[in-house]
Amino acid sequence: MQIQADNIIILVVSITLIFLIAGLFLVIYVNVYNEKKGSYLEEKKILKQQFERAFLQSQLEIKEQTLQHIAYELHDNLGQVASLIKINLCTLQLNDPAKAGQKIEDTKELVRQLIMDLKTLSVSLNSDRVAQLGIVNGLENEVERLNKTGQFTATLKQGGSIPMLDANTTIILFRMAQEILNNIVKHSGAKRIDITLQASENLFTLVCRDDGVGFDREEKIGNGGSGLLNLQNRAKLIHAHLTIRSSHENGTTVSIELPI
Amino acid sequence: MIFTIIILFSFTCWLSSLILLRKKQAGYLHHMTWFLGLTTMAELSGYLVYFQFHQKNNYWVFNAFLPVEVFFLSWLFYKILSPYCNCKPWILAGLTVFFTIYLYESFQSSFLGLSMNAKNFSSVFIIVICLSYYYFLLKSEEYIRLKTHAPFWIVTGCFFFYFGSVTCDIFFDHLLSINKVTIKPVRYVIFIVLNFILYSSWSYSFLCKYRQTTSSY
Repeated sequence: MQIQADNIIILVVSITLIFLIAGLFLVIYVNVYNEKKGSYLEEKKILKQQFERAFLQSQLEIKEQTLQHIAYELHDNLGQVASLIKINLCTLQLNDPAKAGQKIEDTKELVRQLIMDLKTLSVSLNSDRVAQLGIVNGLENEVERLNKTGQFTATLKQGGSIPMLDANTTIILFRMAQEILNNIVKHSGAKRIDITLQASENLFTLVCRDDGVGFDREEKIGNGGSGLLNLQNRAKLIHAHLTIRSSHENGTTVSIELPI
Repeated sequence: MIFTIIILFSFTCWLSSLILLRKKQAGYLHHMTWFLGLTTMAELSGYLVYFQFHQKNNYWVFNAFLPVEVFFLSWLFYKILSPYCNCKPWILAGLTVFFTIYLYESFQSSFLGLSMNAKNFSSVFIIVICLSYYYFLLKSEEYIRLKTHAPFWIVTGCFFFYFGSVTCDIFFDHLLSINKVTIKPVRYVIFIVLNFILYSSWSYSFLCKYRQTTSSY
């Protein structure tokens, strides 16, 4: 009887202890899991803040570049056309109707060209408009603008059904393309620029190829080439992959691959 | 001796609730004050009936208090779990089963005995609710700082108490007869430890709630 009583006591105490220890392990597990969840959420918050900072920085850089683009267009393109209009009007010979008539027609053509160029510039600067029109229409305007200068032969080819991207991605992608084209115009000495847009089920690719003098990418970055770094950062923002291949013999090819 | 150790724990916890759980800021936890008051009274009554009035059977005191305890804890867990799920049907179902068993056993013993089956069922019911709470806590996407989260400590205290008391309740009759013969109050000692865990967790939860409400000003 005594032994049975002792056995029961030992059994009860042992099982109670086991239950308490099991309960303790469960509570510790819940705590540890919860702390890990907290760390994960904290990390996610930090990453989101970093992303927003980078996005804001990128927006500011885009604005800055847009202003530079305006200055360039006004000086080199629109300013030149306006100067020609002024020269034509100043040299108008009213005593020779035939010649005056021809000059007036030429001047009218220049004014028409100026208005078109202003409209094109306005569209390319207006980010809302760019987002509304989409990447294809935006690039068509850029190609048209390049061809009008007479210094380049620019083409735009499309393959597959080009998807309508969200506003932010469209704007960032378009500004990247603008920067690439501006770099070609300023530095490459190219005569031909080919832009290809290709869309498959999961991937949208933008390829910009020129027949210019090429450049040494590592040297550019080493010399503080912020333009290339900006392109890389913007590609990361929209989760795109940027590839640049350049050589003196074959010119430069920039491709942006965007998962969709 | 006027007080047993368990009565002392209960009274201390009640005192802490009076000090730390003021009405508006504490929300639903304020009602723990009257529940702990009733618990202390029940413990004291049980002690007085057994030791002071020399009655051999004080089960009817705890049996009378059992429905109050189960009903209040069910309501408390309903309040704690409602942000996570609609637990009302399950809690009502559990209460219905409990009261059915309780009334049947109480009528059988003319309300003089302890309704052990009802008590065992209520222990399992409360353990399941506690485990559900932990499950929803793990599943939730929100991060909560558990070290200072009052509901977590309330549930943890209940979980340890009821989980630890399962064996004692199952072997209640055996332990009772062992104590009568060999004077080894095993059940009493285990319940001292369990009550300490329960009331200290609850007191800590009141402190957490108090700090939370005062720091928000």
